[in-house]
Amino acid sequence: MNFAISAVRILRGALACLLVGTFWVPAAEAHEGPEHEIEELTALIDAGRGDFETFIERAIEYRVLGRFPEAMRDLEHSIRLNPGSLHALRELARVQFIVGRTNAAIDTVSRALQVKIEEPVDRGGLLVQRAEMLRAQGQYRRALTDGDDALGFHSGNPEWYLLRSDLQRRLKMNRKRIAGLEEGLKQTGAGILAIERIEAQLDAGQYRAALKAIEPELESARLRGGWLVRRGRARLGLGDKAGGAEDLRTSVAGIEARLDRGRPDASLLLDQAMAWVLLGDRPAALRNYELARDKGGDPELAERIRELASP
Amino acid sequence: MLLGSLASRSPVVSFGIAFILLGEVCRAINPPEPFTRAPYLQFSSPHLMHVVWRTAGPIRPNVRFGKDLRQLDQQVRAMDIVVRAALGTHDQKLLARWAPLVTKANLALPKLHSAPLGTFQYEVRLKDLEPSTTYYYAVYDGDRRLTPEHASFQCVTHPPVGAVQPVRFWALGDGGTGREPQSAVHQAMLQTLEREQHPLDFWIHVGDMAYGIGRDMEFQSRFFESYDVTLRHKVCWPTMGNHEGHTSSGRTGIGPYYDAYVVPTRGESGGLASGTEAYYSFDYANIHFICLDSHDLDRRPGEPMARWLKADLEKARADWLIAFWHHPPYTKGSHDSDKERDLIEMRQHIMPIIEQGGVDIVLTGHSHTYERSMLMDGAYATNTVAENVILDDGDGNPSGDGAYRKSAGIHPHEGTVQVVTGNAGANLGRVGTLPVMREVVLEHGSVLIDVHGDTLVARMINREGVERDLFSVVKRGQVAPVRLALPWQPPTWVKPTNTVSIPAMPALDHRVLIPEGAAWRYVFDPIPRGMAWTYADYDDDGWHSGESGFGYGAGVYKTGLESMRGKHGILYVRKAFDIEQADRITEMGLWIDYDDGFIAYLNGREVARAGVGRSSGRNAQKVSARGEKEPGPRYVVLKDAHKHAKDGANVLAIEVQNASLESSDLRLNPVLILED
Repeated sequence: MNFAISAVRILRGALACLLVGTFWVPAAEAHEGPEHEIEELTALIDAGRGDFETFIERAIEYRVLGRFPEAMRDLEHSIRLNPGSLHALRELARVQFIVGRTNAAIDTVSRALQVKIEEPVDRGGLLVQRAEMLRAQGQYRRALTDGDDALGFHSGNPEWYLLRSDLQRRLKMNRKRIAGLEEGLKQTGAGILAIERIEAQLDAGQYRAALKAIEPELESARLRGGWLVRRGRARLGLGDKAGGAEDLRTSVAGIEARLDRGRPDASLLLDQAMAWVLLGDRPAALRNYELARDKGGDPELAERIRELASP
Repeated sequence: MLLGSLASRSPVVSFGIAFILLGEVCRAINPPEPFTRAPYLQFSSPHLMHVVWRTAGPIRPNVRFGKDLRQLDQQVRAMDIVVRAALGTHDQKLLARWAPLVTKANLALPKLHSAPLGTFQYEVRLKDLEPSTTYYYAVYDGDRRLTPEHASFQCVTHPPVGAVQPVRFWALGDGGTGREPQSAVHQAMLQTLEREQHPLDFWIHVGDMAYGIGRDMEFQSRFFESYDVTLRHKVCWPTMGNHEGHTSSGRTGIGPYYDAYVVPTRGESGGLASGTEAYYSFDYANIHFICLDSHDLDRRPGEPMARWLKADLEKARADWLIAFWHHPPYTKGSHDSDKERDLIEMRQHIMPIIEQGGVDIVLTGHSHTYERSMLMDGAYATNTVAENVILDDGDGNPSGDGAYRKSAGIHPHEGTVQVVTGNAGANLGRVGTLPVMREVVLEHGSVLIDVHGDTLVARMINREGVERDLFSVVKRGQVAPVRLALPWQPPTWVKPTNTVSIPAMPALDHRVLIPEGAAWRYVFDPIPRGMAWTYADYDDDGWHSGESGFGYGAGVYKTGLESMRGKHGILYVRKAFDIEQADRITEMGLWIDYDDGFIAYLNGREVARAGVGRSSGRNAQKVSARGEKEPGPRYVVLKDAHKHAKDGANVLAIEVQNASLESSDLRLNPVLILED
C-alpha cells in the first residue's frame, strides 16, 4: 500500500510548474463561453463530423444564449440522428415549453416516454415534466395523473410532491393534498413540504392544526413576516379577528422594513400582498401583485392574490 | 533518442515530453489496492462525519475510529453503512471476474451511475461524536486493516453551532481538468497553509470538478485522485457545475455527481432540510452556508429551490451567511452575465432573495477567472450597471481603502461581495469587465477565507502561492448603507492583441500505452480499400512492420519511407494494444507529430483528425499542408475513446495524408496515452 503518492505528486507538480513557468504565458483569450463553444461545434459539424451528441451540445449553448429557434433546430436534428436519445428529447421539450409551444412539448415528452428507459426515476422525471406542461394548459386532472404516476416511480423528490400538492389545491382535493404532503415529508424530510402542509391545512380550513404547526416555526424564525401571515390567517379562521389582524399588520410592517422598494424581492411582495388581502386592503395588495408579476414572482401565487384582491 | 530529437524542435515539444516522462515516473497515482477510490470525508456536523471509499469488488466494510491514533476504540455498526454498486445494465458485458457478483442481493443495492463495473462504494456514518474533536479513522475489510496508521486519516467535527472561533475554508471552482494548473493551484494552497501553520477546517467546490462531462472516471482522476491528500481529512462541500450536469441531474438526483457526494438532505448539519442533494445548507461555528443548484433547476421565485432558500434564510441565525453555487450572477470572464440566460436568472430571481435575507458573500465559478465585486446590493438589471447599487466602492482591503463595513448580525440589503473563483485549473478567459467588479485577476488560483468573530478576510492565492487580492468585511455596530450614485469604476478592459493559446496537454496522471519506437504494421502500396483496415479483426499479415516514427524528408525516422516520395501520398499504420477494463478509461489521447494531416481510428471508429477536411483515404479532401506556425508534436484527445475501447485487445489505426505528392516530407510519430 502506497499512500506516499502525495509526495510524488508534489514533486511532479513542482517540476511541471517549473516547466510551465519557463515556457508558457497564460492565455488571455476566452476559452469556454457559449459563443466559443458554438464556434467549435459548428466547425465540427461543418466538417461533417458532428454526431447526435454534437448537436445536443450546440443546442444547449444556444439555449443558454436564449437562441431558442437554433436550439430547437439542433435538437430536432439530433433526434433524427438518434431517435432514442432521451437527453435530446428532454432538452427539446424543455425548449419548446420555454417558447410557449406547449402542445409540441407535451408530444415530445410523450415520445420520450416511449423510449427504453433504464432508471425508474428518469421515467418519473419525464412524467413530472409533462405534468408541468399540462398544468400550464389548465389540464389539472391529466397533470395530476402524471404527478401521481411519477411518484410511483420515485418517491424521494420533494419537488414532485409540491407539484402534486399544487394540482390538488387547484382541484380542491384538500384531504388528499394533506395526506400526500405528509407522505412526502416522511419520504424526504423536506422543510418546504412541512410549510406546504401548513398552507394546505389553511386552505382546508384546518386552522387549529395549522396554528399548532405554525407556533414553533414562528418561535424559531429569524424573519417572521411569512409566518405571521400564516398565523394571522389561522387566527382569522378561528374567529380571532383582533389577533389575526395584529399578526397581519406586524407582518406588513416587518416585510416593508426588509423590502427595498426600488429593487424588491418578488416573494416578499407576494407575502405582503397576502397580508393585505386578508386585511381587506385590496388596492395595496393589487399594487404588490403587479410589481411582483413584473419582477417574475411566483405566477401561481400572484394569480391567487389577484383573484382574492379583485373586486 | 527520438524524444530528444523531438524536444529540440520547440519548447512545446519539451513541455509535452516532460509531461509524458513525468507520467511514466508517477504512474502509481491511482489509489492503492484494494481501493479504487481512496477514503474521503463527506458531510459533517458537531456530532457526525462520513467516510466514503470504493473498492473493486465487495469487502466486509468497517471503520474503526478514536481520539488516539493508536487506539481506535470505536467502530461503526452495519446499519450506518450504505453500500452502492456498479453491476452494469442489461446490455453491458461484465468481465468474467465480476460475473459472480451479479447476485440478487447485489442487484438490490443502490446503483452507481457509469462507475467501472465491479465497483462497490461504501458510505459510513460516524455518529455521536463530540464537537470540535479530532478523530482518527481506519478502514477495514473485516479484520484486515486497509489504511495505514497515519495521522492524515483523521477528521475534526464542527464546533458547536454559534461558536465564535477562527474558521478557515478554501473555495475553488472549475479545476477538474487533471492538468498541471489544477495541481499547481492545489499545491499553492497546501504550501500557504503549511507556511502559515494554519490548516483548513473544510473546503467548498463551486462546480466543474470533473471535465469534460462529469463521467465517473473523470471524477475519479480529475477530482478524487487530484485532491486525495486533502479529501481524506477535510470535508469538501460541493455544488454541481454545468460539466457535471452533462451526466448528472438535479431534477432526479442521479448521476456520478450524486454518487460521489454525500450531503445533508434532512438538515443534519443545520439549516432547513432540503430533502434533496441538489441544494442544502449547513452550519459551521457562527457561519451558515447555503448551496444552490444553479445548473438545471428552475430558478424562479415560486419554484421549490427558491422557496426553500427563502425559508432557510428565514430560519438562519448565524453571524455570517455565505452562499455558493456555480453560475455567477455577475461576470465577464469566460462567460458573460449580461448575455447568458442561466446567469441572468440567478441574478434576477435568486439574488433578491439572497440580499433580502442578509447574505454576506456569494461564491461562484463557471467563468474561468477571478473576479471580486465591491460591496453591492440590488444589481438585478440587465445589463449590469454600478450606479446606485454600490454601497462601498473601496477595495475592501484593511491596508488600502479599509474593510467593508456592515452592521453586527444579519440585516437585509447591507451589501454582498460577489466572488467568482472559476480559476482553479481550466483555461482562463475574459470578455470584459463588469462595472461592479473591484478586482479581476486572470490567473489560476483559488480563495482562502478566514472568519473570526465579526471579521471575514478573503484572499485569492494564485498558482505560485502569491496573494493577488485581499478583502475584508467587518460586521460591527450599526451601519447605515448609502447607495453611491457615481461609484468608482474599474478601468475598461482591452482585449490583448497578442494572445498566446496554451496547447492541449495530457493529464498529469497518465500512462503510455503505445510508446515512441513501438512496432506498428504499416502499408502505403497498395492502399487498403474501404474502412476494414481500421477494424480490430482486420488481417494485416501482408503489411510491413516498423517502429515509429515513420517518414521521409527533414528529420530522423526509425522507419524511413523514402520510397513514398513523389509516388504515394497516404501512409496507413495499425497497432494492437491491450486494455484490462475499458470502463476505467478517463481519456485517451495521442501525443503525435505528423505531416501533413492524419485521421485516427479506434477499433474502426474515427476518434481524431487534423489537417484533413473531409472524407478519408483516397477520397480525402482539403488536406492542408502543416505550416511552420504549428510545428512539432501536439496532444490530441481521442473523442469518446471510452465508448469505443474494449476490454482486452484493441487496435489503433492511423492514416497520414500528404497535401500533395510533391510534398518534401511526410511524418508520423504517435504515442498513445491513457488517463485512468
